[in-house]
Amino acid sequence: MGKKQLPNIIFLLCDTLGAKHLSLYGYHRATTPNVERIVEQGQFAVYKRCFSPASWTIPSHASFFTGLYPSEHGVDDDHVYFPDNYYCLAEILKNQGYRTYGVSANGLVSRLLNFDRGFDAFYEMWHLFNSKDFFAPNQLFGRSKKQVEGELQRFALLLKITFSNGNYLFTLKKMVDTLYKKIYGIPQMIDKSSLATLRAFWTSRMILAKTDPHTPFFLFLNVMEAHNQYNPPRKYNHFIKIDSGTKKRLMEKYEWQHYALAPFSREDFELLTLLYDQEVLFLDTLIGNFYSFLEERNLLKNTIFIIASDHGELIGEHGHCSHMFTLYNELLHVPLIFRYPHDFGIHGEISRLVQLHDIFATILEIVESPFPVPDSSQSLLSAPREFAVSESIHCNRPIRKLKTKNPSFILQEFMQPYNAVITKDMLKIIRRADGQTELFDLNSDLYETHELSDSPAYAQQKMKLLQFLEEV
Amino acid sequence: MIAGGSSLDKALIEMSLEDKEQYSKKIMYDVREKYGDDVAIAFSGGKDSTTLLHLVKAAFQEKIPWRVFTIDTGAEFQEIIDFVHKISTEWGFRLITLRNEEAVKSAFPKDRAECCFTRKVIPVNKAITDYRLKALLTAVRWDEHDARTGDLFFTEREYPAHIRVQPLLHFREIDVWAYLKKYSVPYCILYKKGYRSLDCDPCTRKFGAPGPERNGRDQEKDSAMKRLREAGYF
Repeated sequence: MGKKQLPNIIFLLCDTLGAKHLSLYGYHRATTPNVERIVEQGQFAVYKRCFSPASWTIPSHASFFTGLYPSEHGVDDDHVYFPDNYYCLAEILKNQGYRTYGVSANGLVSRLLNFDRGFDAFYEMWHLFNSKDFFAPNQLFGRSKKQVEGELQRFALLLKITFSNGNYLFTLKKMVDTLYKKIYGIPQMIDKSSLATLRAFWTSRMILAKTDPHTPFFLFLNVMEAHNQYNPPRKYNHFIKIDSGTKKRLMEKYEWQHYALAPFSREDFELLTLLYDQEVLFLDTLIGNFYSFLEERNLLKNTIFIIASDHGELIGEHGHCSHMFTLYNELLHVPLIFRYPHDFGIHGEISRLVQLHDIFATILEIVESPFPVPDSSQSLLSAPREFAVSESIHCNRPIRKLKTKNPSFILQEFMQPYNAVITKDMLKIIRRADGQTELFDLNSDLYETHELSDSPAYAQQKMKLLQFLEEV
Repeated sequence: MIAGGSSLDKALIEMSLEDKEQYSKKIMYDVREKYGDDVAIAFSGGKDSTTLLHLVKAAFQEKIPWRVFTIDTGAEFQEIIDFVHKISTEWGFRLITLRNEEAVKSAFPKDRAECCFTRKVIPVNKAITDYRLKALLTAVRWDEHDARTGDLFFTEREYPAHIRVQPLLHFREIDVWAYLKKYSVPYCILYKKGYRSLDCDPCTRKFGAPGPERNGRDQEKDSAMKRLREAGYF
């Protein structure tokens, strides 16, 4: 495939957006009217049975960037750094002649953890300027924070260096960026995600408006709107109008309070669900606006547009919240919406079993890349998967977090690593590290309310799945 | 004859794959003309040396005219060992396994560079002497490591005296994969398991540090690259 024929690729990753909460996927509230409209107009393929290989950001991102399962790439809470010794999507596309752009509103999908690998430009929404000079948060001109205690000392050093080398513009930008981070740093990406989401879309528009039309581009965009805290703009109150006191109570101690102090009540989770749904509705509006921009600028002609999520969210289901433990489908079942070039003729609802990191093999196939594709990633254009695997290989990070919040917190039985297999017949087995298993028939019970381990009717399938788990 | 060449020649890097292949073959024909049979090829089973070996085969009507060495360090991945022997059988050449028996029997030294020296450099240098080789072909590329950007296609080595020939210097990483794909050349299955750069098992880390292609390998050893190469390393 010649360089000019290569399709542009836009990959919109909506962090923490579970398929369960999308009306496009059958949710009872109308959370995604705009996405439904563009899916119809743009002739998208909607993969109804897509499962993430991991339940949280870092392993999931590492998986779709490499095509590997978490146990293969090893990136998880004890190894958060995205290593160089396997090929990653942006790097491969750059090698193929693409101009590669990354826009991230997630503090973990960052330069610090090497997720900018392969991107020509990588924009972090917690920085005002896109410059590698603003990276290395614990460093100031090669000196660690320990060597330069206190902000005043750091400021003095910055001025000293400025006057010695005359780089006034850098210093000015550095100071402005530091102030910006005070108001809008990584914590605010979560607390006040709406502004970061708006800025991420705006940045993407700016990039696309200026990109060379003769060079194919790859744009990866991570937005954190659906991630807790659930805090959409005030005018997005279609599902619930909540007083600020209640909202503050729910948000302040969300997650750690549930596990480490006192569980949320059913009523609390109902309110949280409504807030989450409003986040989804807000995000849906922005996706619709972004799509309109692409149409207006005629940027869709030879463009693959992917909308997906790295994992979903538990809001009280199975007694859990957030995305810290377990491998239930509230976490694994994610949207995957693919707009292929028109001549591919692939659109509409697709019910084959797929995994999020199949994006890797699919893109490599479309761009006719010579780089090797791991067996773990299977192109959406080739034969369907026989099974899907998901893994939670560590859970030390959330346990540590809970312990810092409540030192007397007692470790609970479910706080263990897990793996899960889903067959193409939609049977699912989840196995905990201590050997406890759960079996579900997803054909009639996608979100796992009827456990079937002891059901004689499923005894044979259970044996097979257990054997299969041993093999994988 | 192609001269030693200048280091990291951009014009060569920007050539089409077809032109790169021809350039490499021309080097091989020059080697054949000048050194005859007194030549060997180093074959590790990695993507680069597989490409090199296939190019030699293609240059000489499917018959590899020189000895093919592989090194048994006692620490290779089983997948690499299997692959090297499979290629030897399928492509019909006799594989000569080089081994420093004494080193292989002993424990791994803490110093990785020392380990590489005793298990790789010493047996290769001994083979060059024993077989009275005039040239050794290796699959080094300019873009795989900073220490290699200054390399030449032909380099005189002193201890033991021979010419080190590097016909793939101008291939980029993508060219190697494009070549393997173009000719449907088999490659080691470890690349299908996520590895990007292969060394012996203990020195190949999937969970590596930031940097270029070879960073999946042991960094202590790679930082000692200059010293190792002076002693005869690839």
